[in-house]
Amino acid sequence: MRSRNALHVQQLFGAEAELPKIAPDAIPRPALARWLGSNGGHRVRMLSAPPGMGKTTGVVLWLRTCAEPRLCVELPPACDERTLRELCGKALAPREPTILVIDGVERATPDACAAMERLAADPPARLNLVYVGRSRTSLDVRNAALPAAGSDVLRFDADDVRRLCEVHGVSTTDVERVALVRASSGWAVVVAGAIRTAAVNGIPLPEGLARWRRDDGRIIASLIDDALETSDPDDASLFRRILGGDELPTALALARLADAGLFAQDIGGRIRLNPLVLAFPSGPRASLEPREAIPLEIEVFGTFRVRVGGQEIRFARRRDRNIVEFLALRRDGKASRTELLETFWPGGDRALARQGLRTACSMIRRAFGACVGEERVSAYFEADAAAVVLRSEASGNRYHQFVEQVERAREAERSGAPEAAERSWSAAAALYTGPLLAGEEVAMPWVAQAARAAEAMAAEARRRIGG
Amino acid sequence: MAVERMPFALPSVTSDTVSLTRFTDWFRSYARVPLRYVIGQPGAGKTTAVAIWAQQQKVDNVAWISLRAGTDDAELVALLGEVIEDPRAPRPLTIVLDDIDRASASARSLLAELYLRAPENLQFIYVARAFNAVDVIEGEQRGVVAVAGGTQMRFGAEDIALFCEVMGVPFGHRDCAQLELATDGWAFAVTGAVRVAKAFGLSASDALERWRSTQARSVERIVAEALKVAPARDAQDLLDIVEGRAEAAPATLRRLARGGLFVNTSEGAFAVNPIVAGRRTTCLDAASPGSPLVLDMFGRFRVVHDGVEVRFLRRRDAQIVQYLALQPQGRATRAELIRTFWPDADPQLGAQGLRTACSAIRRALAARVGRQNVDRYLFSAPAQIGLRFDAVVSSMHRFVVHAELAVAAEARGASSTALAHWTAALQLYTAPVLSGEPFAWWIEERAAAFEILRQRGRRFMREASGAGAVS
Repeated sequence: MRSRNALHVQQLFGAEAELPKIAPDAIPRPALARWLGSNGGHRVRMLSAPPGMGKTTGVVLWLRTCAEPRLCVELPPACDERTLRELCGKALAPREPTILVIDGVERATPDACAAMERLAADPPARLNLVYVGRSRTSLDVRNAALPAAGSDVLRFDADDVRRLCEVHGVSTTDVERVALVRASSGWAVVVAGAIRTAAVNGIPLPEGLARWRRDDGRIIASLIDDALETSDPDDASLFRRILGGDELPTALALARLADAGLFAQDIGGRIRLNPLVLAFPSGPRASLEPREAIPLEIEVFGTFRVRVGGQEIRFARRRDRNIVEFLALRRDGKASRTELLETFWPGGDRALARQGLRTACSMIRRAFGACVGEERVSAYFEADAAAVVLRSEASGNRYHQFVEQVERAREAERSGAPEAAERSWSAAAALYTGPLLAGEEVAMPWVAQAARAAEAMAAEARRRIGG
Repeated sequence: MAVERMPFALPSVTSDTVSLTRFTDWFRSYARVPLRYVIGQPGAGKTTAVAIWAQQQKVDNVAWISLRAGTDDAELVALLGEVIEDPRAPRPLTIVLDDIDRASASARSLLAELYLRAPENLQFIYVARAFNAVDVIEGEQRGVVAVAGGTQMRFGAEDIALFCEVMGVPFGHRDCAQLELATDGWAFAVTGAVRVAKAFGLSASDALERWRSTQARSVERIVAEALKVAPARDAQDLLDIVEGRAEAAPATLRRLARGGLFVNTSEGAFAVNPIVAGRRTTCLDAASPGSPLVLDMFGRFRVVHDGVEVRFLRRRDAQIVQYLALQPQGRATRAELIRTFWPDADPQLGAQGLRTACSAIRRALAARVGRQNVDRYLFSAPAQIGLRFDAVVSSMHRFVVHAELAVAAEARGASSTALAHWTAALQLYTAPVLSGEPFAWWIEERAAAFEILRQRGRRFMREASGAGAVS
């Protein structure tokens, strides 16, 4: 049944517009247009991506370039089959080739879903159908063998950011554009918000992002709320548990959230939760506020990597990363300022060195902030007048896990428990997946020293297990 | 009919009103957005601000509908239908719906969808006291709604200066900053204080106390009226906070702010309107970052903070500030500055020269405002450098605002408004822009445009005095 408002709108404006309204500053999405174009031969296509990725905008921009008759219908909440048919109207039995986009398929009731599934299985002649929704699992269209696209064709890259900045007259550098993409995972709603905020206030892009998050964070909150409302309760619960720190974001859990369109995306072959959702500040929904910090995952064997909830923390400068590496190898993650000054600025002017350390700490904070939100940085990294601390749990730090296994194995040997010792040696050997901090300058004595010690322990482990 | 309707008829505004600079910038930036949603607590000057904008538009391109308490969806549709179906109604058309808080729930529910379904050639402006009058979050998510809240609706120091100028009230920029601080830019208090200043020959900030003592009842009335229509819990919470019976918890303040109940937000923090709370704000001290940086752009260039001139060591440094001040948003890209000031230099040397100049400018400002406050006035990002017009007041910018308001007033035949603004503009134009500075093509280019405006103002004044009177 059409709502009372829909009837009023019809009375005022006549027939519904063919295409939904989109932001006047929207820029074309070449990757989406390419995908839609290259799959034009298929009668049914499906586009799914988390809320705010710009699905509707991208599709409307593409439809504007199409010559054939087209209709884009947005399903209202709890859209039943009758309403679906009413909205789609004659487009369901077209006399000439017609494109029909059905947007918001996750809002359909089961009977409307079933109707859309039947439509996908046997689409009417001359109808070119595109389903758009948050989740690829909203419709059971596995038998239709339809081409499907996800966030990868919608995500803003640095070039998209440049084009939108140009529309708004915001001057930026490559570094600023890349930083925005990284901080937002290319999330359209955030990218556009940050750029508009920078433009209207005449401020640089990084400030635009910070101000948008501060003043318009409710938009993220509403996207999360809306998505959870129409999600499978188990998926919604998993999402809340992960954000609340009650459950670790394992690859399996993240894959499930990605399937459900709950703000997890495959970026570079790895599924990650959107960093801004992860760092969601206290908002209107207390249930979304993380109670505890999600632990750091620190990889030290091979290339050094720090991740939170699957999201990698990227350090802008090598020096900043080196300091974090140095702290990561400490059992308590702590080093005094004096120690850091002597290690990283040996023999230099003291005042300059102190300034250098202050800058490095600030850069490290910023790197963490971009991933976990500024308000939660201190849960991971802190610097006071005397010392600098990296807060990581042993369970998330591969180096500490490795050392712990070696120590356990030695202790087991000493106490005459060869089986336990072998288990620990095996575990240690498995943890040692490559040289410690590979790729870092071995000229740094502490790196060379730690790498030699780790290699010796790994060699011992291999020897003991006969590898 | 349960509504007061004036299709195509805008509310009248007095001749001494000024447009708020931040609001105007916001309004222009979102000119093409299907819905602009203007929110402000009672007395914030929402209707006036939108009416000033509307008066600057082409006649008849704006239809204005003020809603009355209880307007329901059917009545709203009838009203809109009359405006939309009027064969004389031009397209594109912007429909302003004022006081939407007063409408019934059914009408507000319709308003939440209307702008999404309207044809492209219809735009809407909703004006409300409370953010939650209409749920526009779907539009915000999509970028088809722009929301102007507390910041844009506040009188900044520059707006207070503009208002003093048009009222003919002598002022110092420190007075303006003080008045902004004491009122948190609440239009009702700012305009009241400046009118008192004019009536009693007081400075703007001194006039506030006199206004407070004489207008306490008006403030009480405006608060009481707002509380009457507010949810009972919100009304009680505001009273408890104001009367010191309860702590101002952030969650409560956020709720009151969303309900338009005299809670301001600034940089993410909430606070009760200082006038409503009966709070006396401490004065700006000499080193306060609250004082704006004042740029004298007519004749010799001067940068003044709290009455003391900022000294630039090198002419090049001052010229870069002048160049930025001449840009509409006060900013320029590094590449543009290098092209302008180091046109023949090796790009790397130019970039180094610019870095040195920025550093020297920062040092010069730091000597006056303190190193920790420099970023309040100037930003220096990797791609661009700019003045922050939030905290920088430029005589040229004020001249432009007055001239634009005067031209718009002329166009609609409001001679007394035009006279007030031309008078203020011409008083600012004491000499051609930067005419006391060495020749530079980028000065000449802009100065010519201002000279044309000045001549237009003088012509108007001559004609007005020739006519002997203004309507």
